[in-house]
Formats: sequence, structure tokens, C-alpha cells
Amino acid sequence: MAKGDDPLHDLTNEEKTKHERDLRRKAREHFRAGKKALREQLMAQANEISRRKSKRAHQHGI
Amino acid sequence: MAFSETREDRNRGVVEPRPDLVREYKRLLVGKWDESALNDALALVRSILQDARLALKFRWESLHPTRGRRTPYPIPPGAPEYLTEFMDSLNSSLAPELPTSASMDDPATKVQRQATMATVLLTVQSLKYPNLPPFKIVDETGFLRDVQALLFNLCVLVLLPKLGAQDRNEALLLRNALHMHTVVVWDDEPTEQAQLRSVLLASNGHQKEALAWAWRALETTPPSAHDYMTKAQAVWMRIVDTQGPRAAIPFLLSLSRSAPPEYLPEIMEMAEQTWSFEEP
Repeated sequence: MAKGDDPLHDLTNEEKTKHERDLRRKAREHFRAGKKALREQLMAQANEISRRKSKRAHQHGI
Repeated sequence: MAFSETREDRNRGVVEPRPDLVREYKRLLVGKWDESALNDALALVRSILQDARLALKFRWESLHPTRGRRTPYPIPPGAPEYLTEFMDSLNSSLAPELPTSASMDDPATKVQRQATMATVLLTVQSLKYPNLPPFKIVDETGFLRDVQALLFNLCVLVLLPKLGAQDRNEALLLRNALHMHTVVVWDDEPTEQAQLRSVLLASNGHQKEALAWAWRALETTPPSAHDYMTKAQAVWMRIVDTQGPRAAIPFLLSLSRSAPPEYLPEIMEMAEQTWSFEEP
């Protein structure tokens, strides 16, 4: 399976690329302008979009 | 707050991503991260838990005058007598209307309720409830925790800044829940654990620690991964924040050698921007 192509709930590589590059570019603009809160938000969103989503079994007892 | 007791179910706690919930997750992931997204993320975690037979009900929802009141089943006009009698019998057994006053312990404002709800939903893997027998949350696809990660970010970036001095208790509980979430839920995935900690620490004003965890997230991400460049840019920004632009140059030089060639134009942009910060 290609990176990021999780058939369960991840976005495709094409979707990721489309969004994350734009978010990184906007974050750099806010960084230049000193708008820290906006930059933090865009970078966090770019990360959540682009990272490979969970796949392994994960169990927690209650 | 309590889990609603439903029928005995051996599948209690098993998370199975429903297509419409997956679509909602993807919509929230790429949409605007604002209060509306925060509310939708809260609702999405609750829907996942409800599907896993772990429907959550908060006390204030039972006490709200317009919620918790069940509407009688409508009897169609011209319905035959046997159906009318049947529907009447169903309606007569509905629970009486619930009280409308709330106790002093309930969160008083909308933002406090959002914070309380998020505190529970982010730590649901480690909660215990006396009204249910022991069970496990089985999240084989990771859908629940990925939606929780989305909620985590919305809490740090949208909800926490809205909490004021009068919301101190809720803010403290939420911050603890956010930290606990990184410990309990992401113990087997150090990259996302480090990333979430970096975001949380930066929001607390701990910039050096935020940089350290951003470094950890980058170090555990292979250059071929889709999120490598995003994590690298985050480190670059945090180096400039904490050590100044000059300190970021060696990092960018190193990055230009480790990152795939397709990212070179972006690295060049970052270098130009770094030099511009140095100019008087």
C-alpha cells in the first residue's frame, strides 16, 4: 500500500498533498507576519491531515 | 455523566468505523478548524462511542428542559382502532418529563460544558463506571483515537483560548485530560504522542519543551513519509521562536540533504524567510 493510502479512514496522497502544501504556505505567511496563533493552528491541521492514521490494534481495559 | 445502560452486549467497546462517520471525520480534518468544528468533533466521538454500545449522557443534558423529553409517537389520522390502541399504550408508558433545574455542580456556561465534555471524551479509554461490567475498548482501525486526536487539536487551538478566569477549574481539568490523553492513548505511537505534546506545551507557553517534542516527532518520522516536511517546518518555526533565525540555518542545511528533492523549493523559501528575519 502506498504511503497514506489507508482504505479505512485516511485521506489519499492526492488529498493530503492538495491540503497540506497550502496550509504550510499559509502558515509561513502568518509566521512572517508574527501571527502565532493562526500559524500554530494551520501547522497542527497540516500535520493531522498528512500523518499516516492509526492502523495497529489498540485496546484499553476499563 | 454516565454510560447509558443498554442491552447486554458482547460487542460493547468494539469500535467499527461507519462510512458516514468516516466521511464526517474527513470533512472535519480538511475543513476550517473553528468552534463549529469543535462541536462536530465532540459529537463525532460520541457517535463512535454510541456505536460501540458506550453511549454517553451528561447530567446537564438530562436536566435541560428541551432535551431528554421524549415525544409521543404520532398516531396517523384515520388509523384503525387496533393501531390507535397500540400507539396509545406505547405513549402512555413513556417516562415523565424530567426536572428542569440543574444542580450547582453542573457547568454553568456553554464553554464550560464543551470543556467538561471534551475532558471525558479524551480520556474515555481509562474511565471506570460502576454501572457497567468491565469491558475493553477495541479500536482495531484506530478510528476512535484518530478522531480523538482531531478533537485534541481543536481543544488546544479553539477551546482553551476561550476559557477565561471564571472557567479555571474546567481549564485545569481539560489540560490534565489533554496530557493524560497523550500518555494513555498514544503510548504505542511515539510520533503522534510527541506531536500532540508539542502542540499542548506551546499553548502553555513552554516553547523550549515544545521544540524538544517537535524534534522528537521529526526524528521518528522517515523522510519518505507524507508528514515529514510538515514536521520539519514546525521544527524550523520553533527554532526561530526559541533560539533566533541564525540558529535555524544549520537545521535547514541539514534538512536540504535529508528531505526528498521535491521539497527543495519549500526549503529554499524557508531559508529566504529566515534571512529576512535577520535583516535590520
